[in-house]
Amino acid sequence: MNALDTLSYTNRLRHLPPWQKLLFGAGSLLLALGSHPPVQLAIAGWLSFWTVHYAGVPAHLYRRVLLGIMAFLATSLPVLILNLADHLPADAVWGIPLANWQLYLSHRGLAQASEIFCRSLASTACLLFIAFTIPLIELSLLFARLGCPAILVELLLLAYRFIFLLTDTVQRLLLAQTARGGYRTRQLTLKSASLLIRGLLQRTVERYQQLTLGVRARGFNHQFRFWQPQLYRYSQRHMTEILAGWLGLLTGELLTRIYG
Amino acid sequence: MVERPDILLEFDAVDYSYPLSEMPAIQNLSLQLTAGQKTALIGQNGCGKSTLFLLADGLCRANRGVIKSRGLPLRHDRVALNQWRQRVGLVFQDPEQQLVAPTVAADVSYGLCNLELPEAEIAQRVEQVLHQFGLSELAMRPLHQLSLGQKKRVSLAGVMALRPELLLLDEPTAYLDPIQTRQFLAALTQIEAEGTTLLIATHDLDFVYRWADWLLVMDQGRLLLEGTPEQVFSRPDLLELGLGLPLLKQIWDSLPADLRQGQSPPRTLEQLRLAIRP
Ligand SMILES: Nc1ncnc2c1ncn2[C@@H]1O[C@H](COP(=O)(O)OP(=O)(O)O)[C@@H](O)[C@H]1O
Ligand SMILES: [Mg+2]
Repeated sequence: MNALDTLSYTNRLRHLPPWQKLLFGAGSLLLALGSHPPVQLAIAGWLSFWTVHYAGVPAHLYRRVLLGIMAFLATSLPVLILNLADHLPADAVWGIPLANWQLYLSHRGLAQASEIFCRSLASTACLLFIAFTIPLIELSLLFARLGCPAILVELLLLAYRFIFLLTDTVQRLLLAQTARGGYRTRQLTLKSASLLIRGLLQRTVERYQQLTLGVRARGFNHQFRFWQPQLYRYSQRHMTEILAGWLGLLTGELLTRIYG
Repeated sequence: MVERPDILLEFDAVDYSYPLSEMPAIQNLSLQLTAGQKTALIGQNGCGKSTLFLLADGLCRANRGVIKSRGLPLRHDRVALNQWRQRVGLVFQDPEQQLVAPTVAADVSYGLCNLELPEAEIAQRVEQVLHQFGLSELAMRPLHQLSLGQKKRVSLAGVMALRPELLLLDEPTAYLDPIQTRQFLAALTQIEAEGTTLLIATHDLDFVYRWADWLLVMDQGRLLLEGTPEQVFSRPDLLELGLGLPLLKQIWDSLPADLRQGQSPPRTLEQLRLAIRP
């Protein structure tokens, strides 16, 4: 969470307006959902190239996150593609008897699996591009401009600020407890954890009270309103590449539909 | 009612106790802050410095006594309070306490947005104040990624964007390392140059000795004594408080009497060097 947050502020595509990046990510996602595996693989490769090469997200970190998500998705794959029947059908590629039943993998199942895999890979790459290059704050402000209710966006922003205050409190308490041997044995761990939760509650209330004072000192008007400078530079070069890429992908999709 | 345009803050026999607490935090406190005078507030932890600031910013309400600015008393209705807080800025000891927005620029804009200024003016003031405090590079950074020194500067910038005539700083250099402290003090010099009057609560006596024109010493919720730094640090009863003395003052006092004769005590190292030159 923290690495992602930091990268979204320090990546090399930082200066591009958020809408341009969202357009690219979301547009490619739509394309990925409606196209065939070869085109989906191309999308995954292209978006990953943007994230790692253009945005400068470290390749090893990107690979780890991408593989992590794909591995998580892969755990649900067997249920989808393995079949159970009382006899082995003709298109089975592989099967084992299980009591009176046959557990088997069919050609169709295999095709389905590769389809799901390609689609997941492509859409994960699209979502990761958005997550790595657009800070959550700017994303929510963008949603606000797209018509998302202001109260929701404000809540999201306050929650975002508060999450880091909360994790900071947890980290401090944990450190203090660990330094004093609070987690040496299992029994102690249970006791320390309950202390941690109580301490967290208490400190959160204290912090809330202090923040209330601070907010009032700054002229709180029963509303949270901020202003953000627009420091972005629209890039025609990137836009041209996006449009040309989409055109190429659409052509590829058409060709697979005609000849595939 | 006598208008005193040069008295930016005045306490007249103010008492305050926190709800549910036995001991009063502020007792019969009277003081006056003159425009353009650099004032420092010192005293042990728990003597009531922070409480005094909360009262002065209208965040707590005095049980007794009057708080005034330019001869006009502080009133506790919303409009009056907002006007008051625009003129009297408060920077808390812990910057986390007053940072509310997700990013640096947004946070600096918060007080301005509350004043409902036109957007162009907000933009212009935010940019100017970010530049002034060396924060332009960090404008779009989220606050939780900043160092404490940077957060301190953001909280200062957020208050200075409102251009207060009086700025109250509660232990501004607490927790800062020497470099961060120097940067912060440099920012203060600029603020003074622009005509904002400062009241600083601090434990840094060397800073106080060098910087302040006027000194307020508090003890157990009362104003114990006040005067120029030279007057205050020469008082024998100050030693009983256990606050210590500025290093330069100690050095000066330990020099042989004939070296010191006929000279006023130096307040900077440079002045000391000149004073003892053979
Ligand atoms: N929120 C509070 N509730 C009750 N008592 C408080 C509160 N804050 C401070 N006090 C008490 O008020 C007195 C003055 O505190 P404070 O103004 O914070 O002192 P200082 O800033 O000089 O260290 C102390 O005795 C302190 O314990
Ligand atoms: Mg204090």
